[in-house]
Amino acid sequence: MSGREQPSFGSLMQNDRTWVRISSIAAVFSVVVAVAMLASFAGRVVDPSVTPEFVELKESLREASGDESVHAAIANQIRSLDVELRTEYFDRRAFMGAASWLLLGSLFVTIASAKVVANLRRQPPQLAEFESDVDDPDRIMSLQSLSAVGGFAVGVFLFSSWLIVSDRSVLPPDATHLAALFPESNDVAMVATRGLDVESEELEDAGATEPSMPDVEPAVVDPEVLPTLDEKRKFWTRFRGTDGMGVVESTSIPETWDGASGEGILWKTPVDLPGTNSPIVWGDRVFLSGATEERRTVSCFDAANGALVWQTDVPLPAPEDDGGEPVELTVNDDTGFAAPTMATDGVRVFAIFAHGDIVAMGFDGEIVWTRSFGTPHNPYGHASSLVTDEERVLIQLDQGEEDEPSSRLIALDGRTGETIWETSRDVPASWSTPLVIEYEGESQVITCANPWVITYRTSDGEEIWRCDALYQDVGPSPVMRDGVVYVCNEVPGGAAIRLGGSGDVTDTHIIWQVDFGAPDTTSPLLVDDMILMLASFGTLTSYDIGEGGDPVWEQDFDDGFKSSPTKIGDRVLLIGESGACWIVATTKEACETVSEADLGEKCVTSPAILDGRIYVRGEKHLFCIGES
Amino acid sequence: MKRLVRSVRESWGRHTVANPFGGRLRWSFASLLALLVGLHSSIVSGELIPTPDFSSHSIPTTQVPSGSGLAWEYLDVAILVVALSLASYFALVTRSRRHLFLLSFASLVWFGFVRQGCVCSIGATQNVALAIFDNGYVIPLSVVAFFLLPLLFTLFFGRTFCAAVCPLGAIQEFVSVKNVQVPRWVDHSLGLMTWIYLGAAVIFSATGTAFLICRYDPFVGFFRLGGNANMMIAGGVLLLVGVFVGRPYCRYLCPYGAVLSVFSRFSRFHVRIPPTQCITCGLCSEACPYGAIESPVSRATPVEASRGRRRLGYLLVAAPLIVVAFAGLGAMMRGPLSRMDPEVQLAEQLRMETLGLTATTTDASEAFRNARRDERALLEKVLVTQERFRWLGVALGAWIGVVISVKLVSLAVRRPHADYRADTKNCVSCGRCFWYCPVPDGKAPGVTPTTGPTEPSQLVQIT
Repeated sequence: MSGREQPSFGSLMQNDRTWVRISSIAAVFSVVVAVAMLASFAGRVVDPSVTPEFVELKESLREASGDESVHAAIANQIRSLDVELRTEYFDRRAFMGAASWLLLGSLFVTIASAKVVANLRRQPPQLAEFESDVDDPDRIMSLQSLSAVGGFAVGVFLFSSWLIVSDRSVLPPDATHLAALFPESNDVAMVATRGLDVESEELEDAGATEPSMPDVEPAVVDPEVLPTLDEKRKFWTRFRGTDGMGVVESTSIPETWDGASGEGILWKTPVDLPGTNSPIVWGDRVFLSGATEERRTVSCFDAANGALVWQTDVPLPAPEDDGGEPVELTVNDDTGFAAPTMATDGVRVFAIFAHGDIVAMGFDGEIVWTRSFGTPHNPYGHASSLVTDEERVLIQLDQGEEDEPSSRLIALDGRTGETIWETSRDVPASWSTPLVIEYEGESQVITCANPWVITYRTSDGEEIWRCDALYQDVGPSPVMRDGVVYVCNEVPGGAAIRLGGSGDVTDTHIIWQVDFGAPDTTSPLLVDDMILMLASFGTLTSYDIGEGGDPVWEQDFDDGFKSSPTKIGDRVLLIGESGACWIVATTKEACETVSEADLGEKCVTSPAILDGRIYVRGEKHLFCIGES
Repeated sequence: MKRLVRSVRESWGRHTVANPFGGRLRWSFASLLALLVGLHSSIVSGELIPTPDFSSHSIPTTQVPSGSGLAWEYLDVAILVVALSLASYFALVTRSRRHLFLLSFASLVWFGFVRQGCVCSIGATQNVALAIFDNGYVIPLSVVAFFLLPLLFTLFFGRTFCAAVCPLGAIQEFVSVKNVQVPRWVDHSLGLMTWIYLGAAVIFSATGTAFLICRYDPFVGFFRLGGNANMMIAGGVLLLVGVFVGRPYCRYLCPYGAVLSVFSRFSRFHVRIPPTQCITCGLCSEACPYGAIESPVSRATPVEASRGRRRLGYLLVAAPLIVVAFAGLGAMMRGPLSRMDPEVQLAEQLRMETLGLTATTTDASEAFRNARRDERALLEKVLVTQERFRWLGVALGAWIGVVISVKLVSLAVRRPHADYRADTKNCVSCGRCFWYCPVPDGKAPGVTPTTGPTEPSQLVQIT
């Protein structure tokens, strides 16, 4: 009687199925060990001191600081818990160490068995599949290999180029920028006038010689002492000048210039980030902000030669708000992420961006403070520019719909960023910049929105009067002269409102209203006894300042306009969207074009004028126009 | 000849099984490997927990552990010499794939897991570069030995170091289960990365900026059972790829392999596929997973020669332009390259913290601020460093241009030969091809061409 023959050990070792089983068992074991490690890893305590129980005990300990016995008891509890947590931590480490070796061993068996299986199941080479190079003598030096190496070279080239292009460094690129970051003294003016080694690629100097700076007062150095209004009026501290009127009385400017050829252009400097805000000027420094969805900066240029003195990145807001919801910000392309013009109080500069974040910087580019008011609910993007009044920074943060407005007027302390006062406004989103005026010894701020023109006291934010005068999307900013404020919007038109009222003055203080030629973007300009309104479609309309009524005259210009008109001496400067410029002389009789000029690139911003120079931001460059 | 080939095929047929190594098992294995090595990485990496808030326990002072001692270094060098000798002996004299594999496994255990991947010849390249350019750096003799000995052996015996001594090669050899042939054009192009990596590693180490090879060693984490999670994942991916593509790190990344390939080209006694005369049966051509077997190339016809000369001419003209273009590009790489420097990294971190661009600090930035060091002085130093990297970028760019140009020119040069032979540059002397070759070595009297290859060892004659 013979039993079933048992397979020998040797034959088992030659059986591929044996090795498949071994490999499979080892693989399953590896997975089990891996899962156990994963579970242990997931339950680990990275920092025992932040566990809720621990934090709670610490808080109790803090509260029990007066009672020694309770204090000691809680301290003992904490010690016990600490030991417990640490014991658990080190136990886990020990487990992981042992499991690692087990995993390594099981992996080894898995792989080794798999290799044996591969060996036992190996197929012999098939001669029919062999390819000899004998019949293909060009193979080694084939075009395929050459092309592959060529493609690899192109790939390396493109990858390197991408590294270069995407390189964003916050470090100063050279000694000049480093010096600007670390002034050797607090005297900003001294730093400003120190010889700057301007790199040629950064400065596209249109003139043959280095222009000299006009005589300007040194900038204020004491951060606690703010310059007076008269001192501020020597510079261009906000949108349309310190008074916000777009008027420079006694100065002259060149009659023509050409951005392309450089004629009449003292310098032009590339501006890397886009922005539709206008330049402001203090001393020998010109400031701009720029932003994209990914980056925001404030830049400071040397007014003498256009060199970038410093550029400071402004941190972007967190991608999620406090509620964990992703922050979504969509802005109109025409508005962009940096539409509001900056402002300065003579010690710091302030900038606000589409995200509703405001930043204050010293003249050295260091961030002094930042505040965030949340993304404004604004269909086109926030565009109202900042203004300053003494130590206050005023923000007209209009947002929301007519039936659900959430607008505010906010006064921040420019030194600290703290809120001085904040007033709710029952108006929807608007894009107008407020105007600070002095009236009967009191500082007031006039705001324009749909439908109310509202005036507040700047000291405490109390509303003084309001007037129902503007409808729909309000963009133009107000101007004022001799106790009358002039406002306008495409709908319903322009209005003159006498100051001095209280409450709703719609029926009592409107002097006149007109309904033709009012702009939707640009702000009005007071010239002599006329008010000029420049419509986006290129018609400049003049009204009598005292009566309104019918237009005194109308003049068409062959361009679209987003840049507000500016009075310089006895001339008015108009800058079209295409970059075409007109210098006109306006009288009651007519509007005569004195000269024409061309920036050479698109422009939607308003110029800053100082000492016979025009600083204007084009689509890609910051220009300085003037005579050397 | 035909009878010989037929007998070989018949001999092969006896080992053929009906159910070949299945795709399902293969993929399951690969997935498992990837999952586990990745897991291993993240889990075992070291963590630090804060010291107790209040405890009577005195916090021990941080101490730098003493070195392992000279004895270990000498022992390592001695083992290296023995391993290199054995590898050369097994590859050239006994022609034993089995012994090579076992030796490589032993090297993996010793140089990898026991000595934890340090010192290694690949990384020693950086120490040598630093020692050459920095007079203040004293390079240990053992490191010099680890750098030079494999080169010396390679000059005589080919890349036997890669075959069975290098732990990085060994771990890839171990996971190499089912290799596929990679098109030669892929090897030609991706192989250039070894040279670029070498150039970058030398530049960064010579300037004391960083030891790239060590920092981005994909396998050292496995040897130490813990490490940087990203690098461990990269290592896991490489091992996963290595299941199908033989030694991906050695072929496409290893900078020391690039140096060895030059020495191996001029090796005095390089491994041969047939022990005697090649019969051009072609059986070996599929055996090498590294694309290191050159098929015969006939002499060029007049038309081919003319076309080849023209192509070579174009490439010789283009070569200087390529070098200049990459050198110019390198000049603009100042920013990205200098970012490898720890001081540049610290300066950037400090600026970002100042500007509010980052919410977290680093140990380095906190230490800098706590020590009240001068940020301006740091930035001034960084400017100097960045300027230095402008020129280093030019050097690196020019090097890349030279590497690409030499490769293009070499591809355009025809080298006629009649046999199947090992490509001495890329052959790592692993011995896989021995078993495929039906030509007897003349030493084993019982073996004749008609009997075919002998039964392979299960563990070592794999793919």
